[in-house]
Amino acid sequence: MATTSSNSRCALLFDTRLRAVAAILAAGLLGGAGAAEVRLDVRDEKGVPVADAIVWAEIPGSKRPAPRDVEVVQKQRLFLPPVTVIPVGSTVRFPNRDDVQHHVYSFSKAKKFDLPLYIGESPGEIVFDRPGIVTLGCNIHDWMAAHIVVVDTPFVATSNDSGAAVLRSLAGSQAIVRVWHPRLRGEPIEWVADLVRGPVERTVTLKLRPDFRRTPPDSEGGTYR
Amino acid sequence: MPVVRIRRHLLTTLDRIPVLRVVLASLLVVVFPAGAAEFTPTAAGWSRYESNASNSDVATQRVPDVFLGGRLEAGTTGVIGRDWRWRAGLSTDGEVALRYPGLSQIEGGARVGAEYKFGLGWQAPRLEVNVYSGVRAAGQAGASGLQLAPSAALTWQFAERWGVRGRYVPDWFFAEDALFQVAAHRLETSLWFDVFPATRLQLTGSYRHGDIVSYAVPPRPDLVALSEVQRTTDVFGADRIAYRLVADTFSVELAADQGLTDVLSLRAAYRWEITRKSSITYGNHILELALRAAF
Repeated sequence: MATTSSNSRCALLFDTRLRAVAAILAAGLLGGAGAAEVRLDVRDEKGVPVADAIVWAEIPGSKRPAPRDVEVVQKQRLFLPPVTVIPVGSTVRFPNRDDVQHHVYSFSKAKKFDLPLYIGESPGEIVFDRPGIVTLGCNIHDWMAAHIVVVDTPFVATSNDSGAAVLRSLAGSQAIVRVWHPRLRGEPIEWVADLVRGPVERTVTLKLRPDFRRTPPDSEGGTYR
Repeated sequence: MPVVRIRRHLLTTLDRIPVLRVVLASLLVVVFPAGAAEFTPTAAGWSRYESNASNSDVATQRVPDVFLGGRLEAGTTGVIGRDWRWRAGLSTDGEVALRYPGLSQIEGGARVGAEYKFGLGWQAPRLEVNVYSGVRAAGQAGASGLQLAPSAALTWQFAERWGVRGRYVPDWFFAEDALFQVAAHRLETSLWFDVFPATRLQLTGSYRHGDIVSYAVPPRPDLVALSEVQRTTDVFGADRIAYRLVADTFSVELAADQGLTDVLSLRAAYRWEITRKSSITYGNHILELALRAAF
């Protein structure tokens, strides 16, 4: 039947156009890939690969990761792990596994708190409800330091010994990429990555400062140790 | 003389105390601290050169010497509430003078102290008050005795690599012989800078007012007029007389600490001292190399 045939052609044409429009929209809105990558080569000013740099990407509209419950332990007068990455809203406990008291504190804008003088289980749990870098210290042992990186994204990676870090499955056309390291001078390095043209590759140079928290064991020179 | 009365009182009190029992009890408390205190033994060994070991104001009478010394200390630090710490320690140290054995000495002592931290964190200033007392046996006749040295120190690490420290140390030494009695006050201020993570430079200036013992070849009517006590001694030879007088001493020291491992550090220091009393002036150049361990 001619009418049936004409209707079929119309339906096919409409379907084809709809698919084309959907594809264009998808390309525009999602960057065309839906699984873009950002590959970073993190180095210091001398060109030496930097391990343990934290890299994360924020994409407007992307799904927020679920908060987690984690622990930062004090053991052998050190914080372990030295760097913890958590989603916004996560809860952190600070159990003291040493046989001496610790006094955990933070002056950081992202979270200010202190847990005075305790041994054993954490006297409370701290909810990190703002993104940012939180630096931890112990008021008894001044050399103790650790960091909590609070992020509002599921796209997080850590650089390996070769300085390589890869952010995968980035769904979007643009992403704000940030790089931070415990010895970085100043704020995290950030830029906007264009994800439309495929994988992004970039070398990031970090200005790192020496770790001056460890000083010679000098009972008369002013160190607290 | 109040100093004489204090000394008599201290020695009488010391006689009444079962010293051995007190020392053993203190040692137990320090080594096996109760609660959350931390036991921190330290050790040091050093070599020191002094250009004017005889404290002489006449250039031809200045004699240098080299000292080899060592120190062991068992210290304990505890926490009293949020801002207060207490410290206690037992120590023993000794020095051997290579050229003039009479300057050798050995000392054992105890230290107790408290520290207040003005706020949280490593940048918070700290006020520390200590009292040290030790018994010294000296190679020189009459120079043995009891030392009492309280101190107050204010420390502020105002930046990651920079810090300052001010310290006041009154010092009394109650010697067997009046020649070696010392009453002195010392003020010192230090500035340190961490050049590298394990390298620290420290500049210290100090002022001391108090008793010194100067050795000179007589006749020295000027020293006789200025000094309170004079004695013939044989530490630097039979021709010398020791004079005890009150003088002012200024010093400047530059020291470098290098951390070698987590527990070991090496210290090299140069200190220049100048001592004055009326027309009497003498200087001393002191070089020190020390190896320290903190566990």
